Amino acid sequence: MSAILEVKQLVKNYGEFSAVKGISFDIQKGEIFSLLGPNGAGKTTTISMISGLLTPTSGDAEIGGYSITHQPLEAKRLLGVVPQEIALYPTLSARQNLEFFGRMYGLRGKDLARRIDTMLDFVELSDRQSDRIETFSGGMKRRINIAAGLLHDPQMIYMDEPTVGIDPQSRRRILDTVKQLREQRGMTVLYTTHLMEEAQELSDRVGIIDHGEIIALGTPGDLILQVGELDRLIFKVGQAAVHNETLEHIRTSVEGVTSALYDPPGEEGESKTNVSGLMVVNARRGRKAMPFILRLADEEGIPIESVEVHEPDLEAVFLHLTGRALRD
Amino acid sequence: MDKLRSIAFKDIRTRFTDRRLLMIMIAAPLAIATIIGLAFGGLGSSSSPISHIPVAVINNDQPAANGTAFGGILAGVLTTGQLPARADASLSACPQAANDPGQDSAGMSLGELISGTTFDATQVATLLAAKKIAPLQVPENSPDYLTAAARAAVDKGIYAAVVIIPADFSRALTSLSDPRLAPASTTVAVYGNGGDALSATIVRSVVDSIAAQLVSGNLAIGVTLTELAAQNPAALSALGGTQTRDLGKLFTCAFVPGSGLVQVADQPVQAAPNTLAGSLLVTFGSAQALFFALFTGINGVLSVYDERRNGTLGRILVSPTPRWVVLAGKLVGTFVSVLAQLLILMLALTAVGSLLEGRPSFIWGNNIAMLCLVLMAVSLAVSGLGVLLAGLLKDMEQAMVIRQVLTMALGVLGGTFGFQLPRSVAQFSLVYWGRDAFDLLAAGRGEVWLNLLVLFLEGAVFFGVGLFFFNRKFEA
Repeated sequence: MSAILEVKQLVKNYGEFSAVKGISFDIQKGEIFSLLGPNGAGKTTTISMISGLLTPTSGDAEIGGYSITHQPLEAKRLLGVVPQEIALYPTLSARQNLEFFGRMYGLRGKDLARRIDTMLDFVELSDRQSDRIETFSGGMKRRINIAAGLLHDPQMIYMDEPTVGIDPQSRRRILDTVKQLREQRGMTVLYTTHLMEEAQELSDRVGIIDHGEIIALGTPGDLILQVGELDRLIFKVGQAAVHNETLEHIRTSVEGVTSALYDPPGEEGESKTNVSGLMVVNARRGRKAMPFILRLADEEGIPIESVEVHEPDLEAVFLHLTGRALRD
Repeated sequence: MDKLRSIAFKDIRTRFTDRRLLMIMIAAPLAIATIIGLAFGGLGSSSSPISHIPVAVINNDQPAANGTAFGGILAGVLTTGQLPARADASLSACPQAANDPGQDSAGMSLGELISGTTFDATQVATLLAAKKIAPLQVPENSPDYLTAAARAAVDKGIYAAVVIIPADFSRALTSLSDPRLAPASTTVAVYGNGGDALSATIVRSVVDSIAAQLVSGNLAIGVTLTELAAQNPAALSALGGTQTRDLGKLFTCAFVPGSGLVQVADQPVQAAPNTLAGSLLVTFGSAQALFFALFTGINGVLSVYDERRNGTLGRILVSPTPRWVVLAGKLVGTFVSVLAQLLILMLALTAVGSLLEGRPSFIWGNNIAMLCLVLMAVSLAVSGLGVLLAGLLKDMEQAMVIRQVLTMALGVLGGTFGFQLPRSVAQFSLVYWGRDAFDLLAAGRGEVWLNLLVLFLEGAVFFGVGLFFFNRKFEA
């Protein structure tokens, strides 16, 4: 694979304030890359420079080998943008909107009509093409919003939180659309979201940005391993007591376990909420450790009522790296 | 060009598919036309706000060889609202004598409408002594001294206009009635205060009307005598010698304003095509039209802030479309919308004018080509102003405030609200230049090149400066 986007030491200063401090990364062709960061981290500024909306103070970005600062028109032709807001004209029909934005990318005549038909089919809104956008539901508007960004068949598409404010069914449809773009069209996707499960589900690689700098870059699995986050296994043991010897046995004999704790049951109405005793085990590979712990509990006569497995995710990685939740 | 056209077309389409905006654009001008029509429907009644327009009259006329002094007649009508006493004596024999000769059909006398003053050296001395006008550069013994003083007084707003009757006025008119002379033409100069264009237009209309009557009468006499001379050349001198009294009566009848005894097609003295009602509709109507055009023009381009807020501007700017094309497209879209709005108002006012006249009447003058140029220049200037604001202002909230203040300021300066500021101040408003151009064209005068130049130049400069600052927003 070769890089479709190369970001080289991008800097954006506003007077004394540095919004972006020399960011560099690249995105390979056919890759889904998520750029994550809390509000004010410099994510929007970075994307605005890449898409040609803002001129960098220094540094450059190349899309398909074209410099966004020196060959902006050529670079922009290769990039499609799906903004977070519904960037459509509400009093125009879906087709009229697509015609207008298609013309902004130089599409004309039959070629334009064919591309519009294709995209309306792709987002399954051909039957509503003559209706005004203002009559559409939120999910339908989102789909036309996506179609407008894909109309000129770009090599790379930037999607800015495309699932914000829509129902779960529409959200699922959009996530499937993103996967299709890569699988069926080989399109590169630059994706931003506040929803970690989306980033984890879709992304080949993730970049985390904070205070104008990239602080982590890699696959979701790599990032989770890098920060050393552990699985957490919670065994509900009812009224049975778990002795320290048992806990020590789990810690020392089961591979990957780093700690094992017992939380005795509380009385209903007390400050404690668990009326059942809990055994909490932290382990590097929790699912692998679970059979050994269950067998040991059986041998010790500890009845296991239920088990919960909490695996580390990008949210935990993000929290670990930035000290903030993504929405802070 | 395709992208520019697409942006312009999209802007027009979104504007004309927005029912609310469409109502404002169309309903507002139509409402204004109706209000103006209602306000001036009874024009000429004693309640009319237009009366006693101060006018200076300089009569340089030298009596013709036969002793007739038409300049005195014109000056007398303008200063007293009546014909000179000698002419009045023979009015009883005229068929229209039952009517007051100085009173128009709407009920206001000429004397009430115009307050004329014979402008002579005494007047100049009084004005100079009271320091109402600055000392003149022209020597006191110069033939242009009175004219220069009167113009200075007009510029100071002491008079709405000065009427200068030329020395050859009687000679030119007499030449029309004497078959032995070659017809000559002459020009009555009306120098009006641009800051009070309405009053100046009315004065010009009155002068044109009286001059047309003089021309009509002389032509009628001339035609009659020529016919007599053709039938019996030898009788011409005898006719002149024995029928002097009857011809004098005929002269008097022909010269009574409003008589309409003889219709003529050719008028050596320039005639205004407009009636007073038409002039008022043009002046007030065009001022209101320009005021609303300002709103449409500025709003049209400022929709760029709406587009920025809803993301469509960003979507256009991330496409391979240069920024100047985006603004130029907005400018063209707004230009067409303003043009359409102005045309609608002009048509509505024309309809109102026709209703008042009781016949189809185009009140905007006969120079359609120049009228089109003025419309385009006005549309460009207001659209360009919108681009300037789009480049300079930070956001929609700021734009809303500035738009209100600027529109009101330009409206006040340009005379939208019924009162006139001195021309030197009014000239700062593009409303003035547009309104003045419409007034001039409606009065049958085509000297609007300066207006066109100012308006086109303003449009171009506003666009250039606006584009510069618009680009800088992305470099920041």
